[in-house]
Amino acid sequence: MTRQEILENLKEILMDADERGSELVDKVSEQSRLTEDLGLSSVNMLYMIIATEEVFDIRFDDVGVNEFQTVGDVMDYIEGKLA
Amino acid sequence: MRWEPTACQAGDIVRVRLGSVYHYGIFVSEDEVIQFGLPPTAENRAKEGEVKVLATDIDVFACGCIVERACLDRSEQRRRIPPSETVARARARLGEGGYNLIHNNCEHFVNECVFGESRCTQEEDVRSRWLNRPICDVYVARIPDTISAEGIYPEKRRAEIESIVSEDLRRNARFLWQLLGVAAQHSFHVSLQEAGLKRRLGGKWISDKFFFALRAENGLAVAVVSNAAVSLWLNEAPQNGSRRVLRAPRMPVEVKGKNSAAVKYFWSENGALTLMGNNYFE
Repeated sequence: MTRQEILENLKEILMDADERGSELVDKVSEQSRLTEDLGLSSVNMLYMIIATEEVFDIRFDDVGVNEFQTVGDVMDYIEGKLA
Repeated sequence: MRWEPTACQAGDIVRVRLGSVYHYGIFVSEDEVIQFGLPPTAENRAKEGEVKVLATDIDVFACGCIVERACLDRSEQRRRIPPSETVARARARLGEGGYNLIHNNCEHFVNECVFGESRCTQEEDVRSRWLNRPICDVYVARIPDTISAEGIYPEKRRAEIESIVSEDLRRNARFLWQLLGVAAQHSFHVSLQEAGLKRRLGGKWISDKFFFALRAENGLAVAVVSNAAVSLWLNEAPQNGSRRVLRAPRMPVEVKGKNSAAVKYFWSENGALTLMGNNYFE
């Protein structure tokens, strides 16, 4: 799976997680900070991580509270798991 | 299990609501609440290193919020580990690490101490919300000048399509069915072979894995797949629906169905999908 495909899948998850829909997706880039820029709540973060497990068939088995600051950090983690 | 802000006893599960999530602990006394990590406030997140099982007083646990105590129902009371042993189990784990936001968090910890079972209802609720989310995905693609009959399944549908006399209509039908294959795979993770496709008596094709509708017009193919009944109009959308406009070329598309509020648009081109959001195509 390419990095672009991972990003598109993440955008889709974020769109499901947050009722802002397109307004949120338009903002998403690798550099977007999850809480500061995208305004994700802790429940939305949880949703994003669980949905990511389901979509990419991976397990977040070594994740702390502060692991992910940006969308790119999540993409790096997924890439590492898929490698 | 009910939650009440009542007086606690040693071995009780207690929780505080911080924003939209709960933080859980095992109450021993006003001076000792054992928990997996500090309450996840911004201040604690900034200063906390490795998350470990620790004990604080009730004020640190509460963070100024109301502490609720778990009131167990009869079945839970029968299943629970005796309070003194719960306290002993919690104390024995002080200093333990291995925190995981999804699979080993503060709620897993208290359930292990009280029921001997590691589970987290917050995680279960969110996972259930994801698995049961409304799906209404619209796939749009430009119809190429030539298209082969490959990838069309079942064979009966392929034969129907190949018997269409008009070359334009045959090409559109081939492409729509192939686009349906893309949609089924992406939204429901099934191929056309796995989609349980069959033709009803009226002639309409249905799947036992999802609902779908297909339309082609003005050189564009549109496929919508959903986990509820769904219909699709191009150009002649009824007045009482939300009308969306594809601007390349300009074409109104309307999706109607129970899950249409969850609509997502994808542009499909050369095997790649681009999420266009839930609004207009530009």
